[in-house]
Amino acid sequence: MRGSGEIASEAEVRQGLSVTLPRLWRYGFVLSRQRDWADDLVQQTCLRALERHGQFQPGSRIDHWLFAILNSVWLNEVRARRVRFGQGTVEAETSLEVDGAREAEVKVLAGQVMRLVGDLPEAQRAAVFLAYVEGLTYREVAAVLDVPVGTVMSRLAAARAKLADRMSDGAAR
Amino acid sequence: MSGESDESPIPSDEELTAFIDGELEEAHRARLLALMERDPAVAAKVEHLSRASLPFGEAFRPLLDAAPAADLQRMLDGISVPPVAANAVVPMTRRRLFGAIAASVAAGVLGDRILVGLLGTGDGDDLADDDGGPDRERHWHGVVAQYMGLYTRETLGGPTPGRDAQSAQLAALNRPLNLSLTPEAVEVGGAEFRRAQILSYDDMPLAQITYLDPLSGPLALCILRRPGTVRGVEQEMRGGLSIAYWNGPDHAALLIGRLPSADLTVKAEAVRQRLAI
Repeated sequence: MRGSGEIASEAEVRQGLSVTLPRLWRYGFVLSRQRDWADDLVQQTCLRALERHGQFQPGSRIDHWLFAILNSVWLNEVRARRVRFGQGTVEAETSLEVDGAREAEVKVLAGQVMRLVGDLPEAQRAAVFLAYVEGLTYREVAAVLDVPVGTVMSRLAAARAKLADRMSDGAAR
Repeated sequence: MSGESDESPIPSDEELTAFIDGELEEAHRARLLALMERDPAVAAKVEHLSRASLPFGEAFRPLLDAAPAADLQRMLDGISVPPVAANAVVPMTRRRLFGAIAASVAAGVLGDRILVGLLGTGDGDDLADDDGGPDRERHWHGVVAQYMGLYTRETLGGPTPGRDAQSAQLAALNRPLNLSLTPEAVEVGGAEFRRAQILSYDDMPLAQITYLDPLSGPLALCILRRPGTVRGVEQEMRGGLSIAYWNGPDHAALLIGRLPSADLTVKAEAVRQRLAI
């Protein structure tokens, strides 16, 4: 962009981070289901993105690049916890609910949808969030999650089948 | 299967999901549409999966408001890189204290250089104008502590590089700092080597070698070129981190981490005896 051509400047990455912070936090919360973990995930993402700003390709989607960094931080975190406690994935302490989400009808529905998504296994939850909330294409989701497109398709299909079953059962009304 | 037969396999959930999501190529999409018209079972399956087309975007919008945006922005602002050109005009008291340039030593190319930095904003900042007392001498400890405060186990989650890679990383530190670091010399008891890189402090190269201690988390050995009086290991606390520091004739060194001072001092003493600075 500036004289040096292909290398992104630290300022560009910082700017990208700044405008994406709430969305990064939201993705961190959807993955971890805990506020303080989301805070920590965003902080680690900022640190790594600034450290690696030279790896960002100017002109490509910086939000997707940042999602991918956050995703890898999260995966490492899960792996670290497994080692430390010798257990499976961490249990969610809180469901995907927002304070005051019970007030208006719209918020009731929002809470239900978030709960349905929150009940999905982690890998499906991430794919659903990126594809259906953030609006990424299958290919973009695959890049963020660092998995083949076919994997994204099967995760979304499994999630869809599960959500559809829950809807048919009247889980969300 | 057999030529142009209209006998089609039942589409998978993946295929139908991609159909609903608008991810199929036009020909594929048209084929499925035709199939749905012919086969009520397929149509019913699509209808069922479509029930999962929920208002996801709206539902998750409140989470954006729930994000602690101001705190996150403050956190981001706390990780800053000094604009190189501005360095000269920034007053001493307010000057950027920690501009870090880390070379990606594995790749060893200039294009991979990454810039990391931290603006000294803590208590030590006002000491920058002092006329060289012990506080000033240890000012870099505070800056290092601030930077290390951002590290978690996950920051250092990667594998331990092999000996050859460690030697290569250390070699990149040796020339600018006039050191002769080896993997053996910089070993820290009980902790795994993670990465060696050059940061800079006040325009001087600063060697930073990070480790992951299974018990206490991230550790770092930092070395600054600073000729002075030789001193043995002393300890202090900065920002909740323990620091054990010492001086050689040509360099100042410190070991920093989140563990009891006494434990850290034992590790630092062992390093001091192996390390020529």
